[in-house]
Amino acid sequence: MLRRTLILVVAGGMASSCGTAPPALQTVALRSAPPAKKIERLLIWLPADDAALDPLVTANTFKSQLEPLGVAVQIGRSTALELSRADDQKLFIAGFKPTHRLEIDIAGRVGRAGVIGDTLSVSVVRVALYDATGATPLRAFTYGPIHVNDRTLAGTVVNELKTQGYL
Amino acid sequence: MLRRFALFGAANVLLAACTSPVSGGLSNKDKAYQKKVTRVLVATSFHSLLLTEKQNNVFIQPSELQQSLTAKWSPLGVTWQVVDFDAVTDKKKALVDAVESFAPTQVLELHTASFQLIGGVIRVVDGYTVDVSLTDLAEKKRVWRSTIEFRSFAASGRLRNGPAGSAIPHQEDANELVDALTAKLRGDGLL
Repeated sequence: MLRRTLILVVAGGMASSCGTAPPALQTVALRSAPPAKKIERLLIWLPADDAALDPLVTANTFKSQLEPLGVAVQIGRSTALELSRADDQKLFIAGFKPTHRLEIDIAGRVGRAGVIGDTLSVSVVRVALYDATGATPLRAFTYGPIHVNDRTLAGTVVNELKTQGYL
Repeated sequence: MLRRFALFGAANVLLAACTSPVSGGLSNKDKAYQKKVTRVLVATSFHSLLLTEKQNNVFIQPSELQQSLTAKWSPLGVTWQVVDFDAVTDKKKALVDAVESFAPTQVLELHTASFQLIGGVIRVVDGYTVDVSLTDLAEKKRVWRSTIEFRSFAASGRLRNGPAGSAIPHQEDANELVDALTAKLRGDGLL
Protein backbone atom coordinates (compact mmCIF):
# COMPACT_ATOMS: atom_id res chain seq x y z
CA MET A 1 0.00 0.00 0.00
CA LEU A 2 2.83 2.35 0.97
CA ARG A 3 4.70 1.47 -2.22
CA ARG A 4 1.56 2.11 -4.27
CA THR A 5 1.11 5.50 -2.59
CA LEU A 6 4.75 6.47 -3.14
CA ILE A 7 4.62 5.54 -6.81
CA LEU A 8 1.37 7.48 -7.15
CA VAL A 9 3.08 10.57 -5.73
CA VAL A 10 5.87 10.24 -8.29
CA ALA A 11 3.34 9.52 -11.00
CA GLY A 12 1.25 12.51 -10.02
CA GLY A 13 4.23 14.74 -10.64
CA MET A 14 4.84 13.01 -13.94
CA ALA A 15 1.28 13.26 -15.14
CA SER A 16 0.79 16.84 -14.10
CA SER A 17 3.99 18.35 -15.39
CA CYS A 18 5.25 15.64 -17.73
CA GLY A 19 8.80 15.60 -16.46
CA THR A 20 9.26 18.96 -14.78
CA ALA A 21 8.89 17.49 -11.29
CA PRO A 22 12.28 16.56 -9.81
CA PRO A 23 13.01 12.83 -9.71
CA ALA A 24 12.63 11.10 -6.37
CA LEU A 25 14.03 7.86 -4.99
CA GLN A 26 11.61 5.63 -3.09
CA THR A 27 12.68 2.52 -1.25
CA VAL A 28 10.52 -0.53 -1.91
CA ALA A 29 9.77 -2.44 1.27
CA LEU A 30 10.92 -6.06 1.00
CA ARG A 31 9.90 -9.00 3.17
CA SER A 32 13.49 -9.63 4.18
CA ALA A 33 16.45 -7.31 3.99
CA PRO A 34 19.60 -9.25 4.96
CA PRO A 35 22.64 -7.43 6.41
CA ALA A 36 24.62 -5.57 3.76
CA LYS A 37 27.82 -7.08 2.32
CA LYS A 38 30.26 -4.78 0.53
CA ILE A 39 29.96 -4.68 -3.25
CA GLU A 40 33.30 -5.48 -4.91
CA ARG A 41 32.30 -6.47 -8.42
CA LEU A 42 28.98 -5.22 -9.78
CA LEU A 43 27.14 -6.40 -12.88
CA ILE A 44 24.77 -3.60 -13.92
CA TRP A 45 21.88 -4.79 -16.09
CA LEU A 46 20.24 -2.07 -18.17
CA PRO A 47 16.80 -2.08 -19.80
CA ALA A 48 16.37 -2.69 -23.52
CA ASP A 49 14.26 0.41 -24.13
CA ASP A 50 16.60 3.09 -25.55
CA ALA A 51 13.72 5.55 -25.74
CA ALA A 52 13.33 5.39 -21.96
CA LEU A 53 16.96 5.42 -20.78
CA ASP A 54 20.14 6.08 -22.78
CA PRO A 55 22.35 3.03 -22.11
CA LEU A 56 25.66 4.81 -22.78
CA VAL A 57 24.91 7.75 -20.52
CA THR A 58 23.62 5.46 -17.77
CA ALA A 59 26.58 3.08 -18.00
CA ASN A 60 29.13 5.91 -17.97
CA THR A 61 27.55 7.72 -15.02
CA PHE A 62 27.44 4.52 -12.95
CA LYS A 63 31.07 3.70 -13.83
CA SER A 64 32.26 7.21 -12.96
CA GLN A 65 30.54 6.97 -9.58
CA LEU A 66 31.59 3.42 -8.68
CA GLU A 67 35.13 2.97 -10.02
CA PRO A 68 36.65 5.63 -7.71
CA LEU A 69 35.17 3.61 -4.82
CA GLY A 70 37.13 0.53 -5.96
CA VAL A 71 34.12 -1.29 -7.41
CA ALA A 72 34.72 -3.16 -10.67
CA VAL A 73 31.77 -2.66 -13.01
CA GLN A 74 30.50 -4.59 -15.99
CA ILE A 75 27.47 -3.60 -18.03
CA GLY A 76 24.93 -5.98 -19.55
CA ARG A 77 21.59 -5.31 -21.19
CA SER A 78 18.21 -6.90 -21.56
CA THR A 79 17.17 -7.90 -25.04
CA ALA A 80 14.00 -6.36 -26.43
CA LEU A 81 11.81 -9.44 -25.98
CA GLU A 82 13.74 -11.09 -23.19
CA LEU A 83 12.61 -14.61 -22.30
CA SER A 84 15.04 -15.59 -19.57
CA ARG A 85 17.24 -12.96 -17.97
CA ALA A 86 19.00 -15.59 -15.88
CA ASP A 87 20.11 -17.38 -19.06
CA ASP A 88 21.26 -14.12 -20.64
CA GLN A 89 23.33 -13.29 -17.56
CA LYS A 90 25.06 -16.69 -17.27
CA LEU A 91 28.03 -15.74 -19.47
CA PHE A 92 28.53 -12.45 -17.63
CA ILE A 93 28.41 -14.19 -14.26
CA ALA A 94 30.80 -16.94 -15.34
CA GLY A 95 33.31 -14.49 -16.84
CA PHE A 96 33.10 -11.43 -14.60
CA LYS A 97 32.22 -13.21 -11.35
CA PRO A 98 30.28 -10.33 -9.79
CA THR A 99 29.63 -10.16 -6.07
CA HIS A 100 26.33 -8.39 -6.82
CA ARG A 101 23.93 -7.51 -9.66
CA LEU A 102 22.09 -4.23 -10.03
CA GLU A 103 19.12 -4.57 -12.37
CA ILE A 104 17.37 -1.53 -13.81
CA ASP A 105 13.95 -1.90 -15.43
CA ILE A 106 11.45 0.57 -16.79
CA ALA A 107 8.42 0.56 -14.48
CA GLY A 108 6.49 2.85 -16.82
CA ARG A 109 7.05 5.28 -19.64
CA VAL A 110 4.84 8.19 -20.58
CA GLY A 111 5.16 9.91 -23.93
CA ARG A 112 3.65 13.31 -24.55
CA ALA A 113 2.29 13.63 -28.07
CA GLY A 114 3.41 16.55 -30.16
CA VAL A 115 2.52 17.55 -33.72
CA ILE A 116 5.05 15.08 -35.02
CA GLY A 117 4.86 11.94 -32.91
CA ASP A 118 6.30 11.41 -29.46
CA THR A 119 8.11 14.62 -28.51
CA LEU A 120 8.77 14.18 -24.82
CA SER A 121 9.15 11.03 -22.83
CA VAL A 122 9.65 10.48 -19.12
CA SER A 123 9.99 7.24 -17.19
CA VAL A 124 10.01 5.76 -13.74
CA VAL A 125 12.65 3.07 -13.26
CA ARG A 126 12.77 0.16 -10.84
CA VAL A 127 16.25 -0.62 -9.48
CA ALA A 128 16.95 -3.87 -7.65
CA LEU A 129 20.16 -5.13 -6.04
CA TYR A 130 20.78 -8.87 -5.93
CA ASP A 131 23.68 -11.02 -4.85
CA ALA A 132 25.65 -12.69 -7.66
CA THR A 133 23.07 -15.28 -8.67
CA GLY A 134 20.10 -14.75 -6.33
CA ALA A 135 16.53 -14.34 -7.51
CA THR A 136 15.34 -12.39 -4.47
CA PRO A 137 16.28 -8.71 -4.31
CA LEU A 138 18.40 -7.52 -1.38
CA ARG A 139 17.27 -3.92 -1.84
CA ALA A 140 14.87 -2.29 -4.31
CA PHE A 141 13.99 1.27 -5.26
CA THR A 142 11.91 3.22 -7.72
CA TYR A 143 13.26 6.45 -9.19
CA GLY A 144 11.69 9.04 -11.43
CA PRO A 145 10.39 10.82 -13.33
CA ILE A 146 13.52 10.96 -15.49
CA HIS A 147 14.29 11.80 -19.10
CA VAL A 148 16.09 9.51 -21.52
CA ASN A 149 19.51 11.12 -20.97
CA ASP A 150 19.20 11.38 -17.20
CA ARG A 151 22.48 11.71 -15.28
CA THR A 152 21.08 11.73 -11.74
CA LEU A 153 20.08 8.08 -11.35
CA ALA A 154 23.60 6.72 -10.78
CA GLY A 155 24.59 9.26 -8.13
CA THR A 156 21.32 8.82 -6.27
CA VAL A 157 21.50 5.02 -6.25
CA VAL A 158 25.20 5.01 -5.29
CA ASN A 159 24.51 7.38 -2.37
CA GLU A 160 21.65 5.16 -1.21
CA LEU A 161 23.84 2.04 -1.40
CA LYS A 162 26.53 3.87 0.61
CA THR A 163 23.95 4.78 3.25
CA GLN A 164 22.79 1.19 3.44
CA GLY A 165 26.33 -0.14 3.92
CA TYR A 166 26.93 -1.74 0.50
CA LEU A 167 29.69 0.70 -0.51
CA MET B 1 -1.68 28.99 -43.33
CA LEU B 2 -5.29 27.71 -43.25
CA ARG B 3 -4.70 25.80 -46.48
CA ARG B 4 -1.55 24.22 -45.09
CA PHE B 5 -3.44 23.21 -41.93
CA ALA B 6 -6.27 21.69 -44.00
CA LEU B 7 -3.76 19.73 -46.11
CA PHE B 8 -2.03 18.47 -42.98
CA GLY B 9 -5.40 17.35 -41.55
CA ALA B 10 -6.38 15.59 -44.77
CA ALA B 11 -3.00 13.86 -44.90
CA ASN B 12 -3.48 12.68 -41.32
CA VAL B 13 -6.91 11.23 -42.08
CA LEU B 14 -5.52 9.44 -45.15
CA LEU B 15 -2.63 8.07 -43.16
CA ALA B 16 -4.93 7.01 -40.30
CA ALA B 17 -7.24 5.19 -42.68
CA CYS B 18 -4.35 3.04 -43.89
CA THR B 19 -3.09 1.98 -40.45
CA SER B 20 -4.67 -0.69 -38.29
CA PRO B 21 -5.55 0.65 -34.81
CA VAL B 22 -4.26 -2.51 -33.09
CA SER B 23 -1.40 -4.64 -34.32
CA GLY B 24 1.18 -7.12 -33.13
CA GLY B 25 4.87 -6.29 -32.99
CA LEU B 26 7.84 -8.62 -33.17
CA SER B 27 7.80 -11.81 -31.14
CA ASN B 28 10.35 -14.09 -29.53
CA LYS B 29 9.73 -17.79 -28.98
CA ASP B 30 11.78 -20.37 -27.14
CA LYS B 31 12.86 -22.52 -30.10
CA ALA B 32 12.71 -25.73 -28.09
CA TYR B 33 9.10 -25.19 -27.04
CA GLN B 34 6.67 -27.46 -28.90
CA LYS B 35 3.36 -27.30 -26.99
CA LYS B 36 0.24 -25.53 -28.26
CA VAL B 37 -1.92 -23.13 -26.31
CA THR B 38 -5.01 -25.12 -25.33
CA ARG B 39 -5.82 -24.24 -21.72
CA VAL B 40 -4.59 -20.80 -20.80
CA LEU B 41 -5.02 -18.37 -17.96
CA VAL B 42 -5.12 -14.83 -19.38
CA ALA B 43 -3.84 -12.39 -16.73
CA THR B 44 -4.41 -8.73 -17.53
CA SER B 45 -2.78 -5.71 -15.94
CA PHE B 46 -3.68 -2.76 -18.15
CA HIS B 47 -4.00 -0.03 -15.53
CA SER B 48 -0.94 1.95 -14.61
CA LEU B 49 -0.01 3.60 -11.35
CA LEU B 50 1.39 6.39 -13.50
CA LEU B 51 -2.16 7.31 -14.52
CA THR B 52 -5.22 8.65 -12.76
CA GLU B 53 -8.34 6.52 -12.32
CA LYS B 54 -10.03 8.46 -15.13
CA GLN B 55 -7.07 8.10 -17.50
CA ASN B 56 -7.14 4.34 -16.83
CA ASN B 57 -10.61 4.27 -18.43
CA VAL B 58 -8.87 4.10 -21.81
CA PHE B 59 -8.05 0.41 -21.41
CA ILE B 60 -10.06 -2.66 -22.37
CA GLN B 61 -12.46 -3.92 -19.69
CA PRO B 62 -12.25 -7.61 -18.61
CA SER B 63 -15.83 -8.19 -19.81
CA GLU B 64 -14.88 -6.89 -23.27
CA LEU B 65 -11.86 -9.18 -23.43
CA GLN B 66 -13.99 -12.13 -22.30
CA GLN B 67 -16.54 -11.40 -25.04
CA SER B 68 -13.79 -11.34 -27.67
CA LEU B 69 -12.17 -14.53 -26.38
CA THR B 70 -15.54 -16.30 -26.38
CA ALA B 71 -16.12 -15.29 -30.00
CA LYS B 72 -12.62 -15.96 -31.29
CA TRP B 73 -10.80 -18.53 -29.14
CA SER B 74 -13.58 -20.85 -28.03
CA PRO B 75 -14.21 -21.98 -31.68
CA LEU B 76 -10.48 -22.76 -31.93
CA GLY B 77 -10.78 -25.19 -29.01
CA VAL B 78 -8.83 -22.99 -26.63
CA THR B 79 -10.10 -23.09 -23.05
CA TRP B 80 -9.34 -19.88 -21.20
CA GLN B 81 -10.04 -17.93 -18.07
CA VAL B 82 -9.33 -14.25 -17.44
CA VAL B 83 -7.89 -12.97 -14.18
CA ASP B 84 -8.01 -9.19 -13.82
CA PHE B 85 -4.95 -8.02 -11.87
CA ASP B 86 -6.29 -4.45 -11.90
CA ALA B 87 -9.13 -5.54 -9.62
CA VAL B 88 -7.02 -7.20 -6.92
CA THR B 89 -4.55 -5.92 -4.34
CA ASP B 90 -2.43 -9.07 -4.10
CA LYS B 91 -1.54 -10.13 -7.66
CA LYS B 92 0.58 -13.05 -6.54
CA LYS B 93 -2.25 -14.56 -4.50
CA ALA B 94 -4.76 -13.94 -7.31
CA LEU B 95 -2.49 -15.78 -9.72
CA VAL B 96 -1.88 -18.70 -7.36
CA ASP B 97 -5.63 -19.01 -6.64
CA ALA B 98 -6.54 -18.88 -10.34
CA VAL B 99 -3.90 -21.46 -11.28
CA GLU B 100 -5.10 -23.75 -8.50
CA SER B 101 -8.77 -23.54 -9.47
CA PHE B 102 -8.45 -23.47 -13.29
CA ALA B 103 -5.34 -25.67 -13.71
CA PRO B 104 -4.07 -24.05 -16.94
CA THR B 105 -1.13 -25.31 -18.99
CA GLN B 106 0.11 -21.79 -19.64
CA VAL B 107 -0.35 -18.25 -18.38
CA LEU B 108 -0.61 -15.42 -20.90
CA GLU B 109 0.21 -12.13 -19.19
CA LEU B 110 -0.71 -8.79 -20.72
CA HIS B 111 0.52 -5.58 -19.14
CA THR B 112 0.78 -2.02 -20.37
CA ALA B 113 4.42 -1.10 -20.95
CA SER B 114 4.11 2.48 -22.20
CA PHE B 115 1.48 4.99 -23.17
CA GLN B 116 1.17 8.31 -24.90
CA LEU B 117 -0.65 11.24 -23.32
CA ILE B 118 -2.36 13.99 -25.29
CA GLY B 119 -4.22 17.11 -24.33
CA GLY B 120 -3.59 20.22 -22.28
CA VAL B 121 -5.98 20.83 -19.39
CA ILE B 122 -7.61 17.43 -19.76
CA ARG B 123 -4.86 14.96 -20.46
CA VAL B 124 -5.87 11.53 -21.72
CA VAL B 125 -4.12 8.39 -22.87
CA ASP B 126 -4.22 8.10 -26.63
CA GLY B 127 -2.08 5.19 -27.83
CA TYR B 128 -0.37 2.53 -25.73
CA THR B 129 1.73 -0.61 -25.99
CA VAL B 130 1.05 -3.87 -24.20
CA ASP B 131 3.76 -6.38 -23.35
CA VAL B 132 2.55 -9.97 -23.79
CA SER B 133 4.30 -13.03 -22.43
CA LEU B 134 3.45 -16.71 -22.29
CA THR B 135 4.75 -18.82 -19.42
CA ASP B 136 4.55 -22.62 -19.32
CA LEU B 137 3.62 -23.72 -15.82
CA ALA B 138 5.07 -27.23 -16.04
CA GLU B 139 8.39 -25.99 -17.43
CA LYS B 140 8.32 -22.94 -15.11
CA LYS B 141 9.67 -20.62 -17.76
CA ARG B 142 8.62 -17.89 -20.14
CA VAL B 143 8.43 -19.40 -23.62
CA TRP B 144 7.09 -16.59 -25.79
CA ARG B 145 6.94 -12.82 -25.76
CA SER B 146 5.56 -10.12 -27.99
CA THR B 147 4.04 -6.64 -27.96
CA ILE B 148 0.70 -5.33 -29.12
CA GLU B 149 0.44 -1.70 -30.17
CA PHE B 150 -2.75 0.32 -29.77
CA ARG B 151 -2.05 3.17 -32.16
CA SER B 152 -2.93 6.78 -31.38
CA PHE B 153 -5.83 8.64 -32.96
CA ALA B 154 -3.44 10.51 -35.23
CA ALA B 155 -2.00 7.22 -36.50
CA SER B 156 -5.14 5.12 -36.67
CA GLY B 157 -8.23 7.34 -36.50
CA ARG B 158 -9.55 5.52 -33.40
CA LEU B 159 -10.87 7.54 -30.46
CA ARG B 160 -10.48 5.88 -27.06
CA ASN B 161 -11.91 8.60 -24.85
CA GLY B 162 -15.29 10.29 -24.65
CA PRO B 163 -15.95 14.00 -24.00
CA ALA B 164 -13.68 15.41 -21.26
CA GLY B 165 -11.85 12.09 -21.02
CA SER B 166 -14.95 10.10 -20.10
CA ALA B 167 -15.08 6.33 -20.54
CA ILE B 168 -16.37 4.78 -23.77
CA PRO B 169 -16.61 1.10 -24.79
CA HIS B 170 -13.47 -0.57 -26.17
CA GLN B 171 -14.96 -3.70 -27.71
CA GLU B 172 -13.28 -3.03 -31.07
CA ASP B 173 -9.91 -2.75 -29.33
CA ALA B 174 -10.61 -6.03 -27.49
CA ASN B 175 -11.60 -7.82 -30.72
CA GLU B 176 -8.52 -6.56 -32.53
CA LEU B 177 -6.29 -7.43 -29.57
CA VAL B 178 -7.48 -11.05 -29.71
CA ASP B 179 -7.08 -11.05 -33.53
CA ALA B 180 -3.52 -9.75 -33.20
CA LEU B 181 -2.71 -12.29 -30.49
CA THR B 182 -4.19 -15.12 -32.57
CA ALA B 183 -2.14 -14.10 -35.59
CA LYS B 184 1.10 -13.82 -33.61
CA LEU B 185 0.59 -17.12 -31.74
CA ARG B 186 -0.37 -18.92 -34.97
CA GLY B 187 2.64 -17.46 -36.74
CA ASP B 188 4.88 -18.87 -34.02
CA GLY B 189 3.21 -22.29 -34.09
CA LEU B 190 1.55 -21.93 -30.71
CA LEU B 191 -2.08 -22.07 -31.88
